[in-house]
Amino acid sequence: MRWLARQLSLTVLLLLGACAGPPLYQAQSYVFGTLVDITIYGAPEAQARAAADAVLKDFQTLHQRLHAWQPDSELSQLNRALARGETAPVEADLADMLKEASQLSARAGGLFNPAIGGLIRQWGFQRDEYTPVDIDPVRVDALVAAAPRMSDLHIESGSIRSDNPAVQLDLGGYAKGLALDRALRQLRQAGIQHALVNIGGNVIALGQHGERPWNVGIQHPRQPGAMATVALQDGWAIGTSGDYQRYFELDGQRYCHLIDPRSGYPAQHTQAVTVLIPPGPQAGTLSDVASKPIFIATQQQRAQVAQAMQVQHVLVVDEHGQRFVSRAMAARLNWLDKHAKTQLLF
Amino acid sequence: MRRRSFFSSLSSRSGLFARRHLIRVRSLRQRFSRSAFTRRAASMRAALSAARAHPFPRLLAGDWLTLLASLLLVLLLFQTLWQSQGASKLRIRQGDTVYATLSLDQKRTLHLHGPQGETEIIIDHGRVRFLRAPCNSQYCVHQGWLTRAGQVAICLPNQISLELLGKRKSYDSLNY
Repeated sequence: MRWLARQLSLTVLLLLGACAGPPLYQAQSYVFGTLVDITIYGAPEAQARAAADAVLKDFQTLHQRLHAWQPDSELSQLNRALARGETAPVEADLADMLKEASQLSARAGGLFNPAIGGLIRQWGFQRDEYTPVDIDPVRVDALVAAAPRMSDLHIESGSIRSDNPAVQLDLGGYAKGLALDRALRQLRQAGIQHALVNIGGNVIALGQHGERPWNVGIQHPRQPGAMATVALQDGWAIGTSGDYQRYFELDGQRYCHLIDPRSGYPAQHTQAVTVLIPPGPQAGTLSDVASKPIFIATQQQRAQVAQAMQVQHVLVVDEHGQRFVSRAMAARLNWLDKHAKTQLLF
Repeated sequence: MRRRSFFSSLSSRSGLFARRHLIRVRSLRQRFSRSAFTRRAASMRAALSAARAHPFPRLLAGDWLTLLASLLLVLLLFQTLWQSQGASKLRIRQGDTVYATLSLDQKRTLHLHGPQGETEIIIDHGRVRFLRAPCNSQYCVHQGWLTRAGQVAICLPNQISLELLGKRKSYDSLNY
């Protein structure tokens, strides 16, 4: 009888324990001018805290080095040297980043172009806050005519120079993605098996959330909250380029931070582009980079640009709020709005 | 003639009343008679001594069913009541730390100080919003009311975020 009573009380205790849920550690910080969120599942709190702190510290270092408008950052110093037409010394890892960014820029046919820092500054997006700027068409045209490209850069052992003094590097569309890849490697090395890292909306998954995969909501570009969710399996990354996080409005027009290098003006025919990237050493980087050229491309060009970026999973919300999905992406999305109408992108 | 018949009818009525009264008194007397008391006392003594001999009486099937039913009821109540309470909470984060986790079921205005200045947040019975922010862009204020679990509003310049918590959160993180 006592044995039975003991068994019974043990069962009740276990049941109550199950309600409390498994350990979930969450760390949040503001880096890269945005919100960074690290969720770790199933690790002891001390281990999770140490791992998350180390990742956040790495982010902070990367952010300071690659800051595009703090005058003493490594990138700003490099930009000043390039503008003067000098050959500048460069750290090995920064040289690797610039090489990778150049390759991706070439793949995107120049629609992803980290060399247009001058244009981004002209439009007022190299600031902590985006207040409307006086649009100066002459200056914009001059910056476009100068045609700064990543292929103007010559990166050799420990030094860098540019054929074109108009090249001003801004890794805003690359650094957060790279940071995701670094975070994944770092968390794995720290013995973390399950984690979700979110840098300003770009998310990468490690392992899963208990018995189920990590679940990520995709922000509705014009409403608070998600419009769809997607299961993010181990190693997958998701990234969105939208016109709703960094923009200003002037005379009823919206000017977002995604600038078409061909025209020098912000792209205005798209609200959001989301890409889903399969596991790989560049998954995070691609999740950040690949959505930009697809956002800037015209509706007719999008499929071709996505193919060039080797991206199969694409969701596009155009300027009218119409949704276009690739076949592969359609199979992965769970629309929260059941009456959602979508059209096939490719 | 008339008078007698009147009295006779009266007496017969009172007789009926008296007979009923007598029956009631008799049954009461039977119930509380000395012999009944002693009988009951004896049976109670027997039950007591039996209980002393076996402190844990053998539980019958009905007892087990009752126990099981009450256990299930407790679990059910725990599930329903505990969880619906969790679906109505707000988490406010300031910089790297959680500023507060509050019930949404109240009317309250909060003033938080961030790197840019004072941000005003209003909680209004099941919903929350940024009311005033010191930044120029005012994205957070334009987000309007948050009502559903999982919804998030962030004030990047002032480093303050609002998140509605609930057990039935449909995603772990938001891609934006």
